[in-house]
Parts: sequence; C-alpha cells; structure tokens
Amino acid sequence: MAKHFASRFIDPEVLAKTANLQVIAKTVVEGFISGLHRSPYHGFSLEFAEYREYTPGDDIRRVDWKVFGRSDRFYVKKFEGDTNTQVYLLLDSSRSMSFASHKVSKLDYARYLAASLAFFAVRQHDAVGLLNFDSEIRRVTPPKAQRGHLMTILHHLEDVEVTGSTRIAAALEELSKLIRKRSLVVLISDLYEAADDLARALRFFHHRGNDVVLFHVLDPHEIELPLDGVLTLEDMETGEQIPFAFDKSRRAYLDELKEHIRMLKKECSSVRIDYELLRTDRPLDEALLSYLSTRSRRI
Amino acid sequence: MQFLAPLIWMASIAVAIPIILHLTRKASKKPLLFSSLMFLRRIPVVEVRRRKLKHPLLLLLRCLGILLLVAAFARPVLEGLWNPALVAGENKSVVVLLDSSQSMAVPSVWEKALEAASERVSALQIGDEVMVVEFGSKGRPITPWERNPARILQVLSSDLVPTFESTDYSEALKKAAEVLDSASNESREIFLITDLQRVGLPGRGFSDLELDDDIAIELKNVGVPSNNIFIEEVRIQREAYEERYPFSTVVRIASSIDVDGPSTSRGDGEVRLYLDDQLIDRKPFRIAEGGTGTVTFDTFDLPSNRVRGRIVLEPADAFAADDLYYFVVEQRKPTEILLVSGGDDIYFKKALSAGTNLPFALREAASLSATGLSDYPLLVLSDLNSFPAATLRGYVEEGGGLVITLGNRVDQSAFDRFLEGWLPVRIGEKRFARGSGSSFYSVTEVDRLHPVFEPFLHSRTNALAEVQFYGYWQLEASPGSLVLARFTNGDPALVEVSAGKGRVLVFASSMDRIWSDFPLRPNFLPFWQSLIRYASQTTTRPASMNVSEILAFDEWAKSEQVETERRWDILDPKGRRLLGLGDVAPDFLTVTEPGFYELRKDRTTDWIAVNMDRAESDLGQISEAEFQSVLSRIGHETTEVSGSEERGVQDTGNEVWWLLLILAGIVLLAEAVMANVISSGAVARHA
Repeated sequence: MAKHFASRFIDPEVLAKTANLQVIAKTVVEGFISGLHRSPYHGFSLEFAEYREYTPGDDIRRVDWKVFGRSDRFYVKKFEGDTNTQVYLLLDSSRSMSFASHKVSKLDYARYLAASLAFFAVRQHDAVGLLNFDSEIRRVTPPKAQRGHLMTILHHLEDVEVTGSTRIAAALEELSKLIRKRSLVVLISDLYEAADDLARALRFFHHRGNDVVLFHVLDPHEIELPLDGVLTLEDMETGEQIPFAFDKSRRAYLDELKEHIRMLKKECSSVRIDYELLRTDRPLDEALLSYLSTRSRRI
Repeated sequence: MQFLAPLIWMASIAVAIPIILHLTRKASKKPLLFSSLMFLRRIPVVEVRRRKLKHPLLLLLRCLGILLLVAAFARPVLEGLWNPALVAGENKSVVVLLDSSQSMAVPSVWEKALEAASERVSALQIGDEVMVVEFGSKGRPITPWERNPARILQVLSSDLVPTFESTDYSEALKKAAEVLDSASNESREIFLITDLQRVGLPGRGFSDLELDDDIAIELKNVGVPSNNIFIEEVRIQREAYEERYPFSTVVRIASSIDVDGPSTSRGDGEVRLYLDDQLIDRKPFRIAEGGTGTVTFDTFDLPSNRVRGRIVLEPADAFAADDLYYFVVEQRKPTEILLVSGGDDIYFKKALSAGTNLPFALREAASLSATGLSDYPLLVLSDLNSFPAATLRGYVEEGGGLVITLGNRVDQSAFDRFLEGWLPVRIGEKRFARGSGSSFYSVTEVDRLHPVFEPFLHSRTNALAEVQFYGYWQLEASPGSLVLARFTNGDPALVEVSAGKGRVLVFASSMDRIWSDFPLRPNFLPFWQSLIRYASQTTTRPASMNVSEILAFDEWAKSEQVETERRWDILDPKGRRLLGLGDVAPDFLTVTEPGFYELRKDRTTDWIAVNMDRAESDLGQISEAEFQSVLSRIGHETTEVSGSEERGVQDTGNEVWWLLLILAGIVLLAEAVMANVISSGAVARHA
C-alpha cells in the first residue's frame, strides 16, 4: 500500500505534467524514500550515523555548532552512506531518444531519472556530474558535491536537445579521458548499438575501477510493437525508410530485441555491471532501487 | 422492378473504388517515425502477395451505400404498379416526334434533341404510353407503343444518329397522326422535337394534313442559329462521249444566314476538284453573307472509263455534310445509228452531227441488209419504198429502234404489207396543203410529257407548232399505238408503237424541205436528237442522285446493257453489303446516305454518286410563333417548351427512390461512425 502510494507520485505521466525538474526530482526521491522507510530496504536511507572530529578539508557547513557550543570542539556530522562518491550521469541525447508513444518520451523519462538520481546523490553528499552525448559528448557538467550544484545539473538537463545518432562506445571512450577518479557511472540510453561494441566499452570502464549502472530506456511500443498493417517506418536518426508488415514481422522483431537484451545482460553480468531495462510507462522506483543497490556496494 | 433511368446503373462501377482501396491500401505515404531500424534491417522483407481485405464490414457498408445511392438515382419503380388499371385519372398517349433530318447534325443540336426526348419520356405518368417516331422526309416509328419509359429511354440512349434526309413537317405530322389512331388512351399528344428549319415547312402549308382536334401538339425547339456556306449545285454530266470531259464544271456556292446566327467569319475559301481521290484542280472563292457565287472548272481528262469525283469546299464549316459533292463521270462510246435514206436528208444528217458530246454517231447505207444490222441500236428509214419485213421485225423484236419518215417515194402498199399483222399502224393517202385551201398544215397537239418532247417541256408553244407542213401521209393509228402529235385536222403526225423489246416511231412527213419547212426551224435539231435518243433507248443518267431518291434497277440495267435477271452485289457508301451475289436484285433501291453506292456485276463495277439534299443546307429557322401560325390554319395550336423550361419529373408514387436514399443515408452514417472508430484507434496506436 505504501509502495503504491509512493508510485503514484513517480508515475512518469504524472511527472510529465510538472514542468520543473527540481520538483520532479524531489517528488520522486522523497516519495521513493518515504516508501523505503516502510520497506525492507531500510539501510539505504540517509541516516545520521556518528560524529567525527573536524579535520582540515572538511566542509565547514557540516560542523555541528550545537556540539561545538557544548564541548567547544569541532565535530562534523557523519551520515550513513556518506562516501564522497563521484557520480557521473551519462545521458544519451541522440535523436532516437525523442521517440514517444505516449506523453513521456524516452528523453523525458531519462531526464526525470537523471534529475532524480542527481537529487538523490546531492542529498547523499555525492559529487554528481552530468554529460549528454550522441555520437560524441555534447556537454559536460563536472561533478560537484555542493547542494547548489543540483540546480546546475537540472538546468543542464532542461537544456538537453536531441541531436545526432547513437554511438555510445565512442562517447564512453571520450568520457574515459575525463574521469580521473573512480566513479559511479550511470548510463541512461536506449542502447541502439551492437551489444558487443557496447560491452567492450563498458568493460573498459569497469576495469578502470568504475562502477557502472546501465539504464536501458525503451518505449512500450519498442518493446511490444503493437501496430498492425503495413507501414513505412523512418529511422529517427538516419532517416532511412523501411516498409514494415507488422502482422507478419512482429515476432521476428521481438525476437531480435529479446536477443539484444539478452546479450546486453550477459555482457553486463560478465563484468558486474548492473543492467536495468526501464519502460517509459513504468514508475522510476525500479531505477532508483537499482542505483541504490549499486551505490551500496561502494560503501 | 423497373428503372426509369437504368443507365445510372453504370455508376455502380464506383463500387470498385472502395474495394480497390481496401485491397490495395498500403503503408501510409507519411512514414511513421521510429527510434531505430537496427533490428528491422535484420528482418527479411515479407512480401505480401495476397491482398487481404481490411475492415471487411466497413467495406461492406461503403459498397452498400454506393449501390443504394445508385439504385435510388436509377429511380426504381415497382413493376406491379405499372398497371394502368390501378391508376386513376386521365392517361396520355404521346408520340415523341423526333426530327432526325440532316440539319440536326449541326453540333450540339442532336444531343439536345435526345435529351429533350428523354426528359419527356421520363416525365410520363403511370398509364401513359409513348412511341418515338423519327422523321426526315418521311416519318418512321422507331419504337412500338410502350408503357414502360425505361425501354424507350434505352432506345434513346442507343446509337441513334441523324439521317441524311431533308425535313418535311407535313410527312412527320401525318405519320404521327397515323400512329395516334392506334393509341390506347383518349388523351393524345405529339411532342415535336425539331430545329424548326424553315425549309421543312411544306410550300402549301399543312392543307393536306388531317389532324384530329383533340391531338395536342407540344413543340420543343432545339435548333441553334447557324450560318452555313455550302455547295448548292454542281452542273456536270455523267456521260462523256469523248476522251476529255468536254464541258466546264460549274459549282454554285451559297451562303445561308440566320438572322439570329453568328456572323460568319468565313466568306472565302477554296473549291477543290478530285477525280478518283486525285486533286485535279483548285479554285479560290469569295462569297458574301447570304449570297451565292460560282466557280468554274475547265474541262479535264478522264483517267479511266468511269471515275468517282468529289468537289470539296475548304475549309469545311461546322455543318460539313454539304461542303462536299459527289459525282460520277464515265466515258462512253456514241451509239451508232444507221440511216437508210431514199430522199434528201442533208438537214437530218447535219442535225445529228452538230454540237459536242453527242451520244450517237450516224452511219449511212444505200440499202438495207440483214447483215450487221444488230450492231446498230437504231435504224432510221427515210422515204423508202420497200421494207424487208422479216429482217426488220426480228431486229425490232430484239430491242432495236426503228424510225420511219414518210416522203414522196413511199409506196403505200409496200408499207402496209410491212406492218400488216405486226403493228397497229397503217398509212392512208397523201395529203397536200395546196388542195385543201390552206397553204400548210400545222401540228397543234403534242404529248408534251412524252420524253421525245422533253426538251420543249417548258416552251410556251409545242415543239412543232411553228412548222409549216406542206404534205404528209395520213396515218391510221389503231389501238395499241400511241399518237404523240397530231395535225390540226386530227391526223396523227407522230405515232409510237412498241414491238417486243424495241420501239417504232413513224413520222407522217419527210425530213427534207419539200414537204415542210421544218429543217429551217430552230426546233428541228433538238427534236430529232431527242427522238433519236428516245428511239434508240439511249438513256442518260445524272452524275449524282440525292438522298431519298430511288434508283430503279431496270433503268440502270438498260443503261448498263445488262440483264435484269442477273444478280448483283450492292454496297453502300460505308462498304456495307446491301445485296449479296446470291440475292435477287430488287426493283429499286432508296439511297439513304451520301457517298458512292457500288454496284458490281461480273467483272464490272458501277458507282452511283449520292449527295444530301441541298434543301437541308439552308439552316434558317422559323420562329415557334410562325410554326404555330401555320398549324393554326388547320385549327391546331401548339405549346412551346422553351430551352430553359424543364419539365419536372413527376413522382408517380410508386417509385421507391426516396426509400433507397434514406437507407443509403443510414448506411453511410453507420460507415462514418465505424470509420471514425477505426481511424481513432489507428491514430491512437500510431501516435
């Protein structure tokens, strides 16, 4: 019941009615967390753990002034899960991400997810950065842990426009030059790329000590292909057109897609990359759970 | 069930449109954007060979809607209700009198006429009966009395075309009155559809037309004011007795104008003469509106013994049929005539050799011999005193012509012996004017209509009236002989007797100047040429005939010197066989189309040129008021249906078109709803 209540606030179509990404992220995350408090995932919440004596370099805003008043010593609050993790949110902004069979496109969904994750990360004092890419990296917002940085991330997300075609492997290769510290890399994409190429790039990331979470965002129509008749389909990225008999060829398409997902899962599993398939008509909690699961491994 | 407008059913072919659309609807031309075709590229293309119907219920509704609409417009009528007994009120018998003369071929006129006929027929009520009679120079029913308008409309929509006949309203109304005598209903009507061509009015009015007072005449004028330039007349002879056609050919061109017609822009052009499709000569012409002009072609060589000629006006105007004139010219050998004379025949011989293109050539013999006599179609015996009876009888019985003139040397007994028991003519005694108290005898009575006197038909006096006869032999013409001319005292001057296939003409006087002053008279030459032509049975044929004239085969056979019993092959101008070789030729043939009729026998071919009656070329119209005025003289009034007035189609009460329209509306409404539902679903899925 509680989860259902929470899901109500993170239904993508409900979120789509809200223009402000900050509100969306806050709604999602707080709704999700309130659900977690009543859920078996208790340990994932951000709880006060202990005090630690201040050492130079600590954020002065985290000094507990009440304790200082009583003891005249500087102590900083230490929260459970506070790991100073650096999180990179990688958002696929290729043209295929604008596909939508209902009110929420894949890019919208990816935005909500990225905003929520950023919000989540900032709440946990993680340094979060964002970059969007298609065949190359389009824009980078470097990771920072300040609360004010969230607005920078959210502005970046709002400014994202679809361009170009998907070349994740190339983008990741370029990204690898930017990341100098072990990070949690969250890739949000529709993953229209050959599974082995993708796996090769991800494996490279993983071997450099990064944790990778792969969010595979697909529209329900891409997953079910519920159309009928014969239609000409145009590739949103290349403009290529193919006449397609849905009745006759739906099964073959679904088999191809299934095989693609199976290969992705297999490749990810082999290098301990978390893979999560997300439908744009489903709530974001699955994605957040997956993220927390991965992050918890770093603590 | 019958349909008042069955042709509308042709529109039911529209049913194919939704079927084809449902079968062939392919991918929307506007492509559907899809994230990536990465997986689709790997899928082999599935070619859909067998078309599958999409949305069959929707298709069914669409087809049904179309069929119901078509059926409604075809105006179905429940057949059981086409029973006059069920209908109260007065019913009509209507004759649709459709002008199909040549002038109706003016562009758009014939179409308007058929449309008017269809409208009138469609407006019939239950119990009415109708018959369509087309007319030109004669009226011809083209349908029987019919109570079902659909059958009449079917005839009207068939391949009816104007004929080549001229217009005769008197004949048309006579035929209409005749068929109305057999009508079932008491109320009778003639619906006259015509272009109101002035030349169609009989010169004597409708004085000989007997039309019952109760017959209403309704007039529909479909004519359009038109001007016309046409070949009015061509003066040309068929027979040429020389190698070169010896006369000038005179073409008379006329321009008829209609006071309401457009001012013709063409007053000049070119006249072309063709022989056997070869252009022989061309002459320019210029003609004033409403005026006439002539163009003369010089003599021309004949490329063969018998040639087909055309005279063509260029450029042709809208009414092109009269811009063309057909003719036939043939080269013939002159008929050889044998003259056996016992007296002075210098004037006679001069008369038969004077002029050009003479159809006969005179040969002379000192005495009569049986040998070679049959080579001559005519024998002239002048002032002889002996006759080889057996030879001459056989010659004449076989078709030879015999002309006998009686002069001073004639032996009465020999002559009577010659004719005794053979011909009903005798000679009596010689009569001389000197002894009678008068200085000469005159011929005061002639059979003016006889072919011998045809050249003088329009003369004020008879051909022999001015001749002074000083002497003649008194002829006794018994029954069986024909007296063609008589002297003042009643004695025969010229007697004709038929014998077998031949003709014998006996002239009571001589051809010299001794017994008369005839050789000095101007009528001497045409009289003897005409008589010789007649006696030798030399026929001349016109270079062309007019449509509706009759070609008499026996005359043709004579002119062609063929046996009438022979079987001929006859083809009309379009090459259609009218009479096959196995058929016996009829006595006559009415020519109905302009062009060349072809008559074949054995190895020879003859052509008869036929032209449209030039009376039809005058497209001038009379007003409806004038037509009514002419009719009113016999006590009849007409009602005019003007071009803009439409006779409303009357609902008979038995038609179910409205029911079908309602059904069609319901079906199409259901179709719209279903299509909307399907379309919404499709849009939602494709969005």
